[in-house]
Amino acid sequence: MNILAVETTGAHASAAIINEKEEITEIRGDGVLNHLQSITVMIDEIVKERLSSIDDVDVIAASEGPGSFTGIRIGVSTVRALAQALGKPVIAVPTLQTFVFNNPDFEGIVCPIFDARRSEIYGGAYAKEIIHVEKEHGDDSENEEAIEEIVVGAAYDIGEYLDRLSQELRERCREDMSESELLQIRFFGDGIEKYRPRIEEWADAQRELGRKYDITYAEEEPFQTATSVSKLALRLYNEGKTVSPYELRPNYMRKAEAERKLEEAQKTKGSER
Amino acid sequence: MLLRKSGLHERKMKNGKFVTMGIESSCDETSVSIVLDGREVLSNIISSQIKVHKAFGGVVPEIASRHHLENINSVTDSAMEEAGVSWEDIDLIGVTYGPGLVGALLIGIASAKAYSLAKNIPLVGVHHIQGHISANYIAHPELEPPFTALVISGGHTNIVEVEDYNECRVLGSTRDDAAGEAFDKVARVIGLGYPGGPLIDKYAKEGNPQAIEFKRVYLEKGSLDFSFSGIKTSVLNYVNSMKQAGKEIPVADVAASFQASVTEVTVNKTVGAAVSMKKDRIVMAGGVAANSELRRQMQEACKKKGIKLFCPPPVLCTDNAAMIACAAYYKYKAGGKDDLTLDAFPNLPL
Repeated sequence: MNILAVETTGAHASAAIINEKEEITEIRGDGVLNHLQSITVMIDEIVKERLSSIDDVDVIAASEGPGSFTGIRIGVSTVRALAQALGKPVIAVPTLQTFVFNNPDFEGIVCPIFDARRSEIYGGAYAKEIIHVEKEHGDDSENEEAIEEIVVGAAYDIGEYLDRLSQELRERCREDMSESELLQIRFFGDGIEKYRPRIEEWADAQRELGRKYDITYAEEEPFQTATSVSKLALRLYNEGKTVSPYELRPNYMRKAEAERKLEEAQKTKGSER
Repeated sequence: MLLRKSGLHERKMKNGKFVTMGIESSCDETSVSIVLDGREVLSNIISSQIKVHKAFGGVVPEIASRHHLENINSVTDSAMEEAGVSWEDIDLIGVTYGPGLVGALLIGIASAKAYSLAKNIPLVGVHHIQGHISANYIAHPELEPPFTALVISGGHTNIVEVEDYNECRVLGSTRDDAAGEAFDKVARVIGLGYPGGPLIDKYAKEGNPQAIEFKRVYLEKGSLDFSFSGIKTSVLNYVNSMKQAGKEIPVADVAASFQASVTEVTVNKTVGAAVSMKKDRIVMAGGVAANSELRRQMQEACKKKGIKLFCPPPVLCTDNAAMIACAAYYKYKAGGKDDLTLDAFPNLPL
């Protein structure tokens, strides 16, 4: 079973193939070509490197967004057309959630933030969660890994996002922390560059309130990767979350500017431009 | 459907005809077509977004891109089903790679490249204007280059010297608005709505083309370029002065007078170009080529000069993929081929 994963929502495009044993091969763009020029070539290369034919791809996964509208569309339309012509199912992978796989050794809370312009970010907060599944009969229990969504992925004003994050984390601090432990929080994504001073400010305020946070910024794999997309895709595949290519849609997390303006104009009736 | 499918397949195999899939998404039409030997259209599915963009009074690029993405795969299915072809039958994929809205173009290009990779089908990028001109090869089986072409639409206004299928030279272009753009803007100003072209055509039939004297902009002597923003401004000024005087706007007269101004300049420049280049044929293409008054006056002027005029039927005037498949076929026959790095060029020169 081979899943082809396509990532084009950020500055760097990549393609990966993962199998059921979680063996992954990835190709990344050199940044010279734009995503439209490079992604189909990368897919061609990785298929040739890893499989004997493109027909050996069983499922195709697209990073659905948020991110650059144009980038999302290049990936999603490529995946839709590939799957349509090959007659294969697809998986829509929520881009923000893929960051739980970017730093495999990191156990804390993953906070991806993308610069969404108009002084907003696309952001969320996630943690890998181990669920103990008790079997009804016998004494064997199983551990299942899931992704917990601490702050729901959406477009936020940075202040609003950080407020929600502190709210959710406050509860978390009470529940499972000993005095000596620090809650690990790591930020990812291209929003850091712009909003790092705001985050620092927020972190200082949190410390003054006595919150025990250890805040870091990802140094390795700070951006979207097809490897992480493929890992989440494999989990979604195992949960049976495949759909037909016709149902695969971008997740822009924001309306088109013109749509927003039209709605505003309709709300404040009579105001003509 | 099944019968038709197998029947067609047999015929194709017997005749060994070349099957081209055309893909067009440069503006607000998502279209996929299957064409045999460059000229015989088996299907030409056009999914228009006019209704979507009506609320905004014109094409919104971001919204157009979003709709292209959601539509293109089922448009492809419909085109293949209507033509009765499978992926294995397709010999070539041709796709518009410019000029146009970049976000709209890339949906067609990304899809075309994915189809090409998945099914190992050769790929050719097509210039949108070349496509519009090629619509005439489909409509007129006897037509071959050379000739003079007028490409006139919402995005383009060009006089083109067509020497061969893949050899042409732009003699004149608009320096500001495209003719179709001026139609849309004027229609909005006089309250007709969107899209403006067909509405102005309709209202102009009831109006007097001499009622209001709008500027005829010919630019420098001998220039084959166009300028339509001046006419648009004159209409705007006229409408404002009427409004200020508290008078009712004579919509039909404004439509007719504006249309007469655009038509007169366009016809004179195009026929003049054909005469000076010693061409005895003129070909019209693009959405505004469907305008009835432009067709009538062009026909009249051509007759006087002994020039034969070719126009595609309205469905081939608007953006469609059959014309793209046709242009792709002739480009591929001449050795044109693109690889998977094919990019979108919003300002692609001819």
